[in-house]
Amino acid sequence: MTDSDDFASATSQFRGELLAHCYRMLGSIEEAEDLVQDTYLRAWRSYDGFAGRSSVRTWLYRIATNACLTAIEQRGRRPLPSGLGDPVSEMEAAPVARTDIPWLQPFPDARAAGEFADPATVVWARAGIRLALIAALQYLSARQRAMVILRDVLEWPAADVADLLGMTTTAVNSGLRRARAELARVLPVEEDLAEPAEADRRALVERFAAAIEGADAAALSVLLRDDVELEMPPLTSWFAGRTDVLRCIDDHFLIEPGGLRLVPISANDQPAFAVYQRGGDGAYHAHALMVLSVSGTEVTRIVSFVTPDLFKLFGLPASDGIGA
Amino acid sequence: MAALNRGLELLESAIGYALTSLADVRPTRLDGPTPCREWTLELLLVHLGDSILALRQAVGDGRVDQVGRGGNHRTPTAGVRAEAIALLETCASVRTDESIVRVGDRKLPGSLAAVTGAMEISVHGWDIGVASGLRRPIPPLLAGVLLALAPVVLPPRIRPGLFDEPVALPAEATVSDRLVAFLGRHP
Repeated sequence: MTDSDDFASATSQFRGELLAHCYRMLGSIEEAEDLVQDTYLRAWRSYDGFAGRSSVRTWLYRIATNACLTAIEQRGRRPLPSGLGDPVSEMEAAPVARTDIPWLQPFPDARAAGEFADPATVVWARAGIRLALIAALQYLSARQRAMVILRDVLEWPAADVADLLGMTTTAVNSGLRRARAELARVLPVEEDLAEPAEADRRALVERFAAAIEGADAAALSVLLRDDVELEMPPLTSWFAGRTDVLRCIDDHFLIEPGGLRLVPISANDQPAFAVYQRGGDGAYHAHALMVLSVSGTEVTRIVSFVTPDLFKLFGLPASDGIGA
Repeated sequence: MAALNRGLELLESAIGYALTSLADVRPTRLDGPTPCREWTLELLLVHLGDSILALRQAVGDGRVDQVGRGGNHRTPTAGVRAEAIALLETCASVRTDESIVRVGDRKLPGSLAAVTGAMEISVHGWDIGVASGLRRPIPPLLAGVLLALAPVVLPPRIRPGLFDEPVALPAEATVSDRLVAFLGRHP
């Protein structure tokens, strides 16, 4: 077997988990794709010199993590609207869409599997990828993010994390303590609650979609927990509590039955929808990617990324079929 | 030689494969269909000649200007062959892909330009073979590397308009078949 054969068979299976890794570090699927590309090109070019000094997986993570550390140094953190200010109770007459802010992006779960990935590596692609955690990681320094992700999400031994980051184990452990304390401060309590059973979750998601598509505020209301939150980047305004969230959705989105179409997808290991909006031409056009958090049989958080450009990153069409 | 010139080695390997496909082209088939929708074999050859010319600019000059037509040649096949040989000579004189390539206002690493170029030349080499009635597989070494790198150089956001959706194949398919299927062809 030749080097090139080796390279292909040795590295292909890690593509999905490396994409997830770079996404956790960066909060952007677009940048994560660029850095995975960079990682694979570098790895391929230096594969001869690699010569099995460590496992291929460790080696790829080292290249990718260092690329991410450099990328993060060159720009600030990626926020969600709730990271920038307090909720409002009613949408402004002229809502502010801040397209100049590098917003956090959702992660397309379908990309985590990668080709030829064995189930063990898919596990690492899907671990610790929930939106709230990714948003919280943004509060950490680049190195702290790497420590938490490698140690707590990917469960690497502290000594391996130290080796990758060029630090002592003691320094990693003390850095981790500070990082975990900061995470505990910013991570919503929601994350502690148990996930509902799969059947309950599916039923809830179907009822949610039906309520939105049917423009049925009453049906929607019973699905929202009383402290539900709604964010819609790039709008900076966000809403907290069933009354305000429902009013916002009712006023602005439940215009008429059939006005929106929700195609179920999966993002950040959470239920999600590609939302298409009916245009004047009667066709449905890409409008937003909506990621739900659910607890028991209620929706606790809705983050609707009103950024049709994201559809391309999810491999979704810009318009959905014909008619209703 | 340092292994840092792998992009060029890949490119050279792809050109070698395309040249063998060109040898199969018969003039009577130039109006015939190819795996690329709406392209006859003649149009495909012209397109491939233009692509190779652009790559030669990338490798040799570090920038791709407006893609123009190559010189006048007796046949489209002769045109592509001349471009391919010119690119081989440029690769031989440069011997590094560590440079940056400017395409319009974008800057690409040289290795990325070489990998995407090798992918384009290889898959069109395969197309030419099919259009000529011969399914000449892409050599396994070349196809293996491209199969590993294709998904990272071709994420979904840039795929539309460049390649059709991947075609599903059984896992035991050859690397050549898996590569062309990933690039939207039915092997």
